[in-house]
Amino acid sequence: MSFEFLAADAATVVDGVRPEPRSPIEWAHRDAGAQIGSQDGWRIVTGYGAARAEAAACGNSVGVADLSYLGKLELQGEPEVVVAIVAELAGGASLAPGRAALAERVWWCPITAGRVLAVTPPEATASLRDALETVAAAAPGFVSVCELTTALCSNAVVGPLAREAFARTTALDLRPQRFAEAAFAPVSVARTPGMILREHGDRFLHLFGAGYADYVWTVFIDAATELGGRAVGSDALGPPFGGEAAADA
Amino acid sequence: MSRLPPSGGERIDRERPVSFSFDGELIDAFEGDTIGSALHAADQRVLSRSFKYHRPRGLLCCAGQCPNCLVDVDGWPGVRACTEPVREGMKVVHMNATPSLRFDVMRATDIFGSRLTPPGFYYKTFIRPRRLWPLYEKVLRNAAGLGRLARRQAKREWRTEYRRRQADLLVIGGGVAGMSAALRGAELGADVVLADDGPELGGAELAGADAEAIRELARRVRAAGVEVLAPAAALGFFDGIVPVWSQSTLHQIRARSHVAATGSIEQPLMFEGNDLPGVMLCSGAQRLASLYGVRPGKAAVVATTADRGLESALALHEAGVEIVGIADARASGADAELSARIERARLPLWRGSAVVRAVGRRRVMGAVVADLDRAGRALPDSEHAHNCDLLAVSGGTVPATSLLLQAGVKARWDEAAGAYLPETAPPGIHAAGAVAGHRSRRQAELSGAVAGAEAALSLELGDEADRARLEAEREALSAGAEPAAELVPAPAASANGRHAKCFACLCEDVTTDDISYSIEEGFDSLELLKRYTTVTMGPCQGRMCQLSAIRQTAADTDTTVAEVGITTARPPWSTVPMGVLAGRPFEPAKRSAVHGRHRELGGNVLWAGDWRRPYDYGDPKGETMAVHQGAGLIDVSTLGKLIVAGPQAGAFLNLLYPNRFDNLKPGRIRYGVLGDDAGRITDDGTVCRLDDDSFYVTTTSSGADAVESWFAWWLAEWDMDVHLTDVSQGLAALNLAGPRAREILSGLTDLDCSNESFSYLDGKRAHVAGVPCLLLRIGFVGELGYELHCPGALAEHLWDAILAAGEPHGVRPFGLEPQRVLRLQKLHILVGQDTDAESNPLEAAMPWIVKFDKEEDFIGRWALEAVEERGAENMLVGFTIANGAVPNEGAAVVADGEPVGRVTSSRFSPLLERTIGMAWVPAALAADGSSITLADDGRRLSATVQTSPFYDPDQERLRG
Repeated sequence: MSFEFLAADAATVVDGVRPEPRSPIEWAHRDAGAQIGSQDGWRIVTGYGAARAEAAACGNSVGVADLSYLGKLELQGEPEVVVAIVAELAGGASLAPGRAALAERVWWCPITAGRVLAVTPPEATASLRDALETVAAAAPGFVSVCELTTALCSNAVVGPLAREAFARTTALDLRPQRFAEAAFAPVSVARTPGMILREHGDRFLHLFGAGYADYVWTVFIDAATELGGRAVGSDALGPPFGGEAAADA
Repeated sequence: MSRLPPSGGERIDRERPVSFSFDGELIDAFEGDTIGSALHAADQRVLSRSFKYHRPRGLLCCAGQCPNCLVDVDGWPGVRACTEPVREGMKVVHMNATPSLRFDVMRATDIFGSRLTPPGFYYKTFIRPRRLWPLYEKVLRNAAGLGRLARRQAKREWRTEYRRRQADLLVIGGGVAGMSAALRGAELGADVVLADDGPELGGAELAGADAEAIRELARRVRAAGVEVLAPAAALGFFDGIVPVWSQSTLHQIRARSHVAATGSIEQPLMFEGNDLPGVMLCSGAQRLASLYGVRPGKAAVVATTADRGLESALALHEAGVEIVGIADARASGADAELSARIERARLPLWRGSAVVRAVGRRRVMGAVVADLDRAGRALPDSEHAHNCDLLAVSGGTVPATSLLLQAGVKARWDEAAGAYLPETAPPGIHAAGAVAGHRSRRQAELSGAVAGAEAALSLELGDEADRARLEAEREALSAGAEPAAELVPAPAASANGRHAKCFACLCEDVTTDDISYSIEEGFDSLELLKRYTTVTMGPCQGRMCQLSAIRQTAADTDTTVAEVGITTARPPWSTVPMGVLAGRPFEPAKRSAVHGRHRELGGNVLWAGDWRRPYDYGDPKGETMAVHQGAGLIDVSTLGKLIVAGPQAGAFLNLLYPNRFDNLKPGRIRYGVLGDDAGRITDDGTVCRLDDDSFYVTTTSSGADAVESWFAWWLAEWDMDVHLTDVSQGLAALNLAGPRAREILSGLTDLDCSNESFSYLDGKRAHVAGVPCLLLRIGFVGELGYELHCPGALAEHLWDAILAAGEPHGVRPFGLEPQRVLRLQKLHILVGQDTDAESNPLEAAMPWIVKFDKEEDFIGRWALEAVEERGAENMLVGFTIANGAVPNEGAAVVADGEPVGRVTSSRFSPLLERTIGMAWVPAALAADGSSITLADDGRRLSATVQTSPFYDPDQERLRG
């Protein structure tokens, strides 16, 4: 693959050690007392040493978690070709403007008619990338697959006050009657370009440029703290997209 | 102390005492008191001094609508004492009086100086002699304004934020009408927000006899799921967004439908001395008594034009205030039941009369009442005086229509109602309650329910039964009886030849004489009058004064109130702190994935565009030398990085750049300069061909977004088979440079790094320290160098590995400042610093960039051909200065005393031990060895032009 240099999971073992990819703001999490663990080849924040408070935040106010390790793959091509590829790989799922589709723990998010972002749990990124490239190579016309896992950061914003946290940063109407489950929208958040996906209930995924990771994190933790919430780790959140907990977490 | 015995419905909690200070004196209060009610209970009647004449002022409305009680609380000026709750230990001080509230030297303006300060005095006085204007200005500026802000604030002390809220229905006003509207809307399934500027829902009715029923309605509203914001002031109507200020939050509410139930505002009366402490609105006096348990006065004269004044007199009487007499401007027509109750209570009632004068110097000591003729004028021979310490007045009410008008509703004068009422409303805007002319409680409640139902049903909520119910309620509303219309206009002020002042505008100290005088001068339309006198422009925004100003204008211009019209309603309707409007200071900043390491290494992190980057690590000179002597490592992750892929990718780049890229071989790199249609340089960077159909384009850090937009725009225009992906923030980039760079790199990768295998301008893919990388052998800093582009998530690992491997070779991290010196030694340009909007590649000493022999057109070709034809006029050159002086960047290049160019970059090179720089000079001076003169900060510097790089001009170190 000519774009292997984009793939965080393409690291090789040197002297018995494989470099583990990590969040671009792991340093900030460390400063905040985060516990760092390994999962699916990534260094991730499992918690902040306050398991009860983190669980309570997710249940009663708002928890914010850095899920930068989620895989993000961008598929570009003629709209009808992209539709066909998504249908093939997502069990027949179809996309509509503003509506993503979840299939086998992969979120397929339509950015434009000819541009789709697939968001995957980390253990599925490589296999989906391979599948996409295989199908893209066989598709008519020019179809490209680009790895954006490290280009986009992803924060989970979870809890009954998750919408209130967003309300401090964006004008998008996130009420359930206007932004239902699986709704997806590119939108300005805290004056930066981003995308919001409503996974289910009070669980949202916010995607944005990795360069803004520290800034966005600071803004959301500030908002969450005012609302009685806090930063949380993966232990409080559970595996992404409804998966089982990984064996080595 | 003026406390009344406890009563049901009062807001204060007598079990919880609170104390605070006012002008240094300790004041006892109860929780639930306002500053105003507590001060009044402590017999402090004067709370402030007026704006222009510094007259003593006291409580008037007790509802946050007039300017009389503005105080400074804990250093925050402009706080309304009548609505601000007391807090333990708060420090309240007066405003606008020196040296004290009791004795203010500026009162001289009122006593002696009012002839010098008529309306528009600043157009007539304090003008000559002109040379004294700076002095006048200083005096006037110090005299004007209300309150003072601290000169210094060490940090942002008050956390404010915006909250965006979408809703189906926004109800503004939490009185009976507003609550009914909100409740009905919620019952029909609407998502409802209700905002009220009082501390609790209920509005004016809370001060009445049925407070408990009102509070029960408020409970039902909350139970129905309505989001209640209180105290929360709606500030305006901005194309569908209503900002509502509540404490530290500005709620930006965008609703699909709106109900304005903003009520009505009781009006003061015009008479001499109508601003004395002790003159209060009837509703204000009632609020003090019923909500705060404070006796508003011992003995009261009540003056009114409507039944509400009679109700207030009875309420005050029941609260224990002696009613000296009631001056009712109506000769007849008062409510029969009220009249009977007044008779039973034996309260003196003077029909067809009005107060003409308040007596007293610092507060009300008495009132003079006179009979009125048929035209509403006082009959001088009928005056009778009475001792009192409270003058409770009611000039009727005006609907609070400002927000409705801002929303596009038109208002018309209703002679029967004696008010401007809202009429045709745009879709999605509804009025309810007193603002719509429904004054009785029953009608207000019904109108609210109708408005709420109309709003919800218009959003396709509810069903046929709800529609039927709405129709029935509409009929009931139409048929419902309103209380007797307040047909009697407020009596005109009568000065009777005295010099006593009668105030039309309490905020701006505009008297009725001022208005007449201004109309005589020719400012005879309301809008002109407003601008000339500033009437309605103060903190009350016309709440207390607009109708009386309109009435007087009509009288003085011999027109009607309807013909005069009203002024344009503008936001903010309520005062709001600037800090609330500012909200949270969002200042987006980008940081690389290695930022943590820069901090740990003591990086001096500063802004570079919208990135935070280390300028150095404490030793810029040492870092610069390390690159020459061993190796340096710099984080250049901020570079823009675009993947341009597709069968036409090469052709696409050929059209965009003056360079040629379609003949670039896979694995090779070429420097590119991007230009616009005018041939001007807009950005630069490198292009590496990854394979037949893919290119990796880098841009400047600050130009990344603009280049991506430029590419995307042209892609859409040309509709080529190309995909563009911005990976700028996904890939980190580390530049390892220096004579030891190859050795260090070789220790970390299996890639053959020999010069034969990995030449200058080669691009290769390999793992370095286990990290997948795209390695670009390029050089910006003049030494052997490699740019390693890798996934950001692995950048910290790679950075650590390079520094560890490079330690024996003397590797050091270096920042932007050393980089600037190093690139300057090579005469590499910085777009935007060494170039500007006029710079083209031919004159910027890069003619080799432009491939005029390309067959296809390219952006800027036509303009560049013109430049080539006319020849260079100015050239970008290097220069040196022998004596070590370093000119400022931006210093002028002068010839014959005239500026002919400018210095764009300048630094002292520690390696070359001399000053080097770049400058734009006339083409005639652009030859090697030419002498140029720089003018910089009052000094002249001699410099020598050099057009080749100062260091390694043959690029042996770079290409070796």
